[in-house]
Amino acid sequence: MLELASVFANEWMKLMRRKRMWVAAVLGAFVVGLFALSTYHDHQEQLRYNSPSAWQQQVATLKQDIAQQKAQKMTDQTKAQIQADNQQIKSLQGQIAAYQNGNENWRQNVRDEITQTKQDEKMAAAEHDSTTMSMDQGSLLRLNYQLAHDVPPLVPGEQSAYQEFTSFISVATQIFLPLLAVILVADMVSGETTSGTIKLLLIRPVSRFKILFGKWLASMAATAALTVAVCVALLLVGCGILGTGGAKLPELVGTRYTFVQQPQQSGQVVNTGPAQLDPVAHYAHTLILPEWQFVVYGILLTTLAMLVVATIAFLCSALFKSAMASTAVALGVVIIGGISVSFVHSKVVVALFPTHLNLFSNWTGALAEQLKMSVTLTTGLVVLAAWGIVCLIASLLYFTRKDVLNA
Amino acid sequence: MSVLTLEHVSKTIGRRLIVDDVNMAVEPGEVYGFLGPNGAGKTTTIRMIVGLIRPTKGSIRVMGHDISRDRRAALSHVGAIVENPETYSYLTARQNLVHYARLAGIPHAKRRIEEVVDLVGLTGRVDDKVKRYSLGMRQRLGVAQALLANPKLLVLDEPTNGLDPAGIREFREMIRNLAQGGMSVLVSSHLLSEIQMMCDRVAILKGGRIIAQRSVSSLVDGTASAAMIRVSNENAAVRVLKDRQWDAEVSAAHVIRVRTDGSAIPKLIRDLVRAEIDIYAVEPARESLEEAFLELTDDKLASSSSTPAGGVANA
Ligand SMILES: Nc1ncnc2c1ncn2[C@@H]1O[C@H](COP(=O)(O)OP(=O)(O)OP(=O)(O)O)[C@@H](O)[C@H]1O
Ligand SMILES: [Mg+2]
Repeated sequence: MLELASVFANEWMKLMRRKRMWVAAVLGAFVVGLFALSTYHDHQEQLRYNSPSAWQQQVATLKQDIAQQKAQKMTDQTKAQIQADNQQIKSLQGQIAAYQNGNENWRQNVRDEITQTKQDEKMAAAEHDSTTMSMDQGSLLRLNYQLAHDVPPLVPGEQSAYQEFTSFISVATQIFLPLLAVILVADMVSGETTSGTIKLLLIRPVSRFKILFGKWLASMAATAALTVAVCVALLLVGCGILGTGGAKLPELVGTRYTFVQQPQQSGQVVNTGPAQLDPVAHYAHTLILPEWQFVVYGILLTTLAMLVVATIAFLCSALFKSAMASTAVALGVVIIGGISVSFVHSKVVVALFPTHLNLFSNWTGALAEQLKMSVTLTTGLVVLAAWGIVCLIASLLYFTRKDVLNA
Repeated sequence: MSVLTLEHVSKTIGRRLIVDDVNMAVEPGEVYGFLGPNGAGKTTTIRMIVGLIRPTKGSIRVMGHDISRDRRAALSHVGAIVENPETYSYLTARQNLVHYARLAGIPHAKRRIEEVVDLVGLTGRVDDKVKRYSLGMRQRLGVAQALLANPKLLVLDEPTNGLDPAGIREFREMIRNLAQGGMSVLVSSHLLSEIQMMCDRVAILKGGRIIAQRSVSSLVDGTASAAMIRVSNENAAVRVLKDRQWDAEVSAAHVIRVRTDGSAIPKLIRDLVRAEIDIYAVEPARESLEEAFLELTDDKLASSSSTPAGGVANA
């Protein structure tokens, strides 16, 4: 145990002083900067078209338009135009009034929406449209949660930093974060083989198993630290730009999905293409979390996924003698493999690790809907864990046996 | 008990037999030389001794502990340099030593690090990054890490590579001092003169086999067959001696070399004195180990190993 701690301390010391650490940190900062820029730009856009002052401006333009129309000869066309303009002004003024009333009558709005949704659901039930029914049930769960926990919806024009974060994460977990993990870890062993330092490392009275396991632990610690740091920075930047609104809004997780054939409507030409599958949600195991909690758990899940990516990179570093080769192969497997998985249309993708890197989508069911398969968070965790364990064991087996000849 | 024993050690890589049935033992306090031309299998044998590669056959024991079965106990008595002593260039020398001290489980690491740094003469530069070190300084750091755990057996693969002449002499003195302190040292080299000056015993390796193993003094004594005499007039001396049937020649200014065995030296001196040649010094001319080495190995090998400075170091 003490030996393992020594190995860990050593590996951590080396890791923190290598250039790669700084490359990864700078790239991480770059990713955060990218997110900040796009979020800021988006937000400005929202403010321009979707805020009370923007609406006021739109009202003014519409009024001008009416005045212009009135100045012209009255035809049916201009009349219709004026009427349309007036209606738009009314709705805009309604929006402005609602905004200025603050959230006083949001409850009423939510209640109205609930009634509406219930009607929808009944109609869908009459038509045996289980997809729409289940979607309505989901909406009802959300709306009722808002009433029960006193959570007003976002006001128009307001954006949730949490939602922006989760949508950015779906890209970040496919490319950016795995890239960081690979850069950090892919030469943990091969770097020492290339430089020859492995010889003086392996002639100590510490077993190779402990040396490699300590290296793996240090890799995991560094990957976890970097992933959490980048995620937290993303979230803070998001909150800094968009504010913390929407933190308590509900997010449904753990929903199970089944898939049904779209009912053939009578009288239509029989579809000869592949059967269209529609998702049906089942809420028996569903959990309703406030957004902030969802995001915190999600960051932990993302970290787990990145640990698996790092373990795969670690295996490459143990298998290849040259740091260049191991990094190239790890990048190939993780990045190119990750991208190509989205082109594979076969049930096999469920067993591939890149499918489950965005565990947020496993958890919300977005992945199940996308793959049209009943994939849950547990599926993702099991697949990732299997990849991680197999890679770790493979690297340990190989490394503890091999002759160190060419170093 | 021997500090290091190799019994019937062989190593096959692919289909090639690289080390062939090597048997040897290194005693406490002994400096043991490993001599052989390029590709003889010195580094391969050393890699097996320090557990970097597994022997295909045979057993290696350090202080009685088998290196494969009882690796930990065996390696806790070993300090080594294998080929070039690559250390972490992005760390300082001190950080490097702290790193190795942690793995060796050295109790008072701080003090011990100061000691070895002083010993190898790196004091004052120890907090520099290793990438700013010269080759010789890196060698010294390599020796420092090998000595760190105060090993019973020091294994050095071509340790004087990159040292300047003063550094080589210091190094030799250090090795002799360590051996006097009871440490056993296994040194490999293709610098024959070096082995001769440093070692008590030597094994000559050729094509993966030990073809001779004996003490350096016996190697030298067995073939000592000349006397070097410093005289006032070397030409006159040679003439006088040749007249009296000695096999003499001018060796350098005021120095002549006479082929003879030790027992005839008094008669030789008498002959010179009678001829009124002034004698300033007489010493036995030891034939160098190189000559012995060449005698022991065949022509092909001899020509490949007799290049000046013993060939090039392989990286
Ligand atoms: N990785 C390897 N694979 C196959 N053969 C090897 C390998 N490494 C070394 N050899 C062979 O093993 C033999 C012995 O090599 P070794 O490095 O032990 O020689 P050496 O005595 O240390 O030589 P030098 O004086 O040049 O350092 C050589 O013939 C070499 O070609
Ligand atoms: Mg060698």
